[in-house]
Amino acid sequence: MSTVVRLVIMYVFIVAGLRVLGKREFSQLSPLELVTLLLVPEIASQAILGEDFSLTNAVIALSALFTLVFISTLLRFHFGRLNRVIEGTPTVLVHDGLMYGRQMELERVSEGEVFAEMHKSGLSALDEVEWVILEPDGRMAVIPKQQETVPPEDTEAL
Amino acid sequence: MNESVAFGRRGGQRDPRIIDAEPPSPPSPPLQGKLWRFYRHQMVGIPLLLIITIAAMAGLFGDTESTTTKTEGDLEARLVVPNRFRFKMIGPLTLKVTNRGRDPIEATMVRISRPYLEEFSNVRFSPAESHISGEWHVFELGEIAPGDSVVITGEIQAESFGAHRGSIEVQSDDTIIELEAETWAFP
Repeated sequence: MSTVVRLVIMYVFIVAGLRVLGKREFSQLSPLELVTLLLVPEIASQAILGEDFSLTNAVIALSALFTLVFISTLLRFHFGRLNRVIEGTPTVLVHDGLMYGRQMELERVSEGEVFAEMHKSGLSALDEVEWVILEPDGRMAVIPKQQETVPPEDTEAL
Repeated sequence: MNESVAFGRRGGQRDPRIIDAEPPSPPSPPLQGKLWRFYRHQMVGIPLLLIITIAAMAGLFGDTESTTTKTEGDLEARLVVPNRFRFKMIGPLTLKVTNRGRDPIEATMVRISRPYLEEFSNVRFSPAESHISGEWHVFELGEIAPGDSVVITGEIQAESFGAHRGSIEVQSDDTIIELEAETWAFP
């Protein structure tokens, strides 16, 4: 009983903690973030398993964990509001050539990082960008502006 | 969730292409009503995981002790052993021998089967056994006055998994009490 209770507490605490840290921590890891994520399982495993290192205890803890994960994903899929609470929502950093400073400060994304992502997509100027969206998994999606296509008859005229 | 607080002051000039307005909503996916749909292996596996979790919460895999009390003539023996416990966990093995009669009981002796104790590690008793004789750990308790009790307090640690069965005998001048111990050690 105590193993399951300890696991549930730690699961909720870790999910909530990572959610508070923000999207950035899931993607590009700085040394500080890496250390944090390496320490979390070390601390959590002691809290969950205690002094009981038996196979039985591990099977119980993993069963409870897998059940929790499955139920979480199931509820997340069926209830959009819950998904937004657990996963978060995408954040628009750039739209139509304009950077949204408040969102960048909230997500701790610098102008340089946005440009680095733009460069990977072959873009060099903000004017070329339709959207830069920070997705809930921490990755940036860069969508270029649609090129204005010249109708075929106009091409012939040229 | 989207409310925020800000601290500090921006230094230097700000590029006019950076604004503080609320951005428009990003492109959103089309929506559909959802069914609860599962693979067949999930229909088996998930209830199984749930059963293990619920069984653990109900204490089915937890440590338990069993207590057996037997009386023969003036001699009473009360045995407490782990009924089930997990690998490397320590459980009690306690035997209380009481004289329920009006006369002292001479030469009381307790024997615990050796093969049973060999299934465990860190076996400790207080008082310690007097000697090991053949298949038995022997405790010579001597005389027990009327109404008095002698307690052998022990600890055993789960080592090999499975069901371990053993006998415990309490013997005085003319009386023998036989007790059965059964302990399940989970891996």
